[in-house]
Amino acid sequence: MMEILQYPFFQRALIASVLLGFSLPLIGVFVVTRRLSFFSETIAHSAFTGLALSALLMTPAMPTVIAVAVLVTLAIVFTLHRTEIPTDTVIGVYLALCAGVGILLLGVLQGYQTGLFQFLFGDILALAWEDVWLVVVMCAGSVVAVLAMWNALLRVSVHREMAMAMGTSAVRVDLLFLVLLAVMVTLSLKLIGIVLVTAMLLLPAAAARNLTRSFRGMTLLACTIGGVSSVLGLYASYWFGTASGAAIVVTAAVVFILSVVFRRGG
Amino acid sequence: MADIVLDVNSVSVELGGARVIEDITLQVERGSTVAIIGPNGAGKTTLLRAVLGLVPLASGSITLFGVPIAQLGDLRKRVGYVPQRLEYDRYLPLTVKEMLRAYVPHALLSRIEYALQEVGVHRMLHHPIGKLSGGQLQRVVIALNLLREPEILFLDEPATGVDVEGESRFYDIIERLREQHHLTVVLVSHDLSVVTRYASQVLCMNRRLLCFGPPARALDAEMIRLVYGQDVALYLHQEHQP
Repeated sequence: MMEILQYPFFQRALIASVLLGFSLPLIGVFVVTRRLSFFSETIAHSAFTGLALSALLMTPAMPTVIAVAVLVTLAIVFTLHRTEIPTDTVIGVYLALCAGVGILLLGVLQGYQTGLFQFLFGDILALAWEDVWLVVVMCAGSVVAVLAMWNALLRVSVHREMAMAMGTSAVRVDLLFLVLLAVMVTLSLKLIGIVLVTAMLLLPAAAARNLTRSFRGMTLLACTIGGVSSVLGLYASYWFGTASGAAIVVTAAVVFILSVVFRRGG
Repeated sequence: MADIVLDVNSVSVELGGARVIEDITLQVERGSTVAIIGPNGAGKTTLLRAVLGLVPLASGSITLFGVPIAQLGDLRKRVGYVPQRLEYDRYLPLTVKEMLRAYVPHALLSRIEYALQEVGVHRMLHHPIGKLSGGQLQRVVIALNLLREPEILFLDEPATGVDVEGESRFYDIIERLREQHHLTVVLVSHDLSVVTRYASQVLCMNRRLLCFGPPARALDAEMIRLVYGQDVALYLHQEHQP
């Protein structure tokens, strides 16, 4: 079990997965509470458009993908603010738009697939030390940002209009949180892929919600489940020779299923 | 000269292209209790939301503490609001203490406990909000507002879904707190007994202003028929006769 730790690629994967496993659920508790899982899917799909644009305009991939994700986020918030269309419908419209434009542009750029596959599936075992440092910075940044917005996010989650009447700018809170979510999802895509990002955002938070009576308890348990699932999943992938990202997802999913079985009062 | 806290001047509001309230004028004096009554769809909640700056005005103006509502800024700390019901996720694991701390982050635990005691739910501190009854939750929201020490408290049919006894107890608490904390209270209600018992002024509306004044003077049989469109009258119960 320990011998694998001597390999630098495994050390890097372990550090990155534990950090992401801890920090993504911290954002995830608010994604689950505010029912934004569809939004994170949309941002993940905006990577299609971002990648295609970067290839077309010959701009660096990651900044372009992040710029497109932030633009889509702003467009969603603007549309929600300007219309009375239900949130899931607005997000669905932009999901379709992102996927459509991305596939259209990628069709124009026939043969361009390398970057796309890396973004879609990621490979945590292929991370370089620069990637690990990026993970350290983004995880630290996201923890600080979520803790700074903690009370405002809770106020808007409990009752949006009561929060606004008492002086909280709900639009600003939405905007800051969704941009943070968009940047975290996009940065994580290249490292761990669309499937793992969504799974680490949602599964630990959903499992913790089933087992706790307080929001603090839910958050701490979600982060613990995320971190532990990452370590167990990574080792499981080594033992069974499977894809590491998939093993982490399956581990977190098993914890979620157990939480459903052992749910309080359930 | 009367100390006017809230001044609503010829306000009209449009929602989805339709005029929901038209040309409403109202002045609220400090320390008074003003009840807004009217039939369903009269625009009572919309008027309250307009006063709170939650919906744009088609015309007219609203000032609170002498400041236009859109420019309230830090003065919003002096505004309390109890919505009709908290439409939140009932299964969200959030305790009463966590909810209160989210709204009043620097409140000492002793102050939180005292505020909950004032409204009679001091044993609920560590309960998840989803486990509270409608009445208990509304009292927690009152405690939340007390912790913020507002000068004016807006309540939108706060006892909806609460049983008759609970409703009466709820309004008794509001009245006691108004006196103790020198609050100005503006409440939306459809319950005439609440209005006659607690309000110093009543505003009747059905999209437009129908009456405004002390309940005994403003609410005659003709006005009640106009507001509710049926034969309804006020009878003073023996118990409440002087």
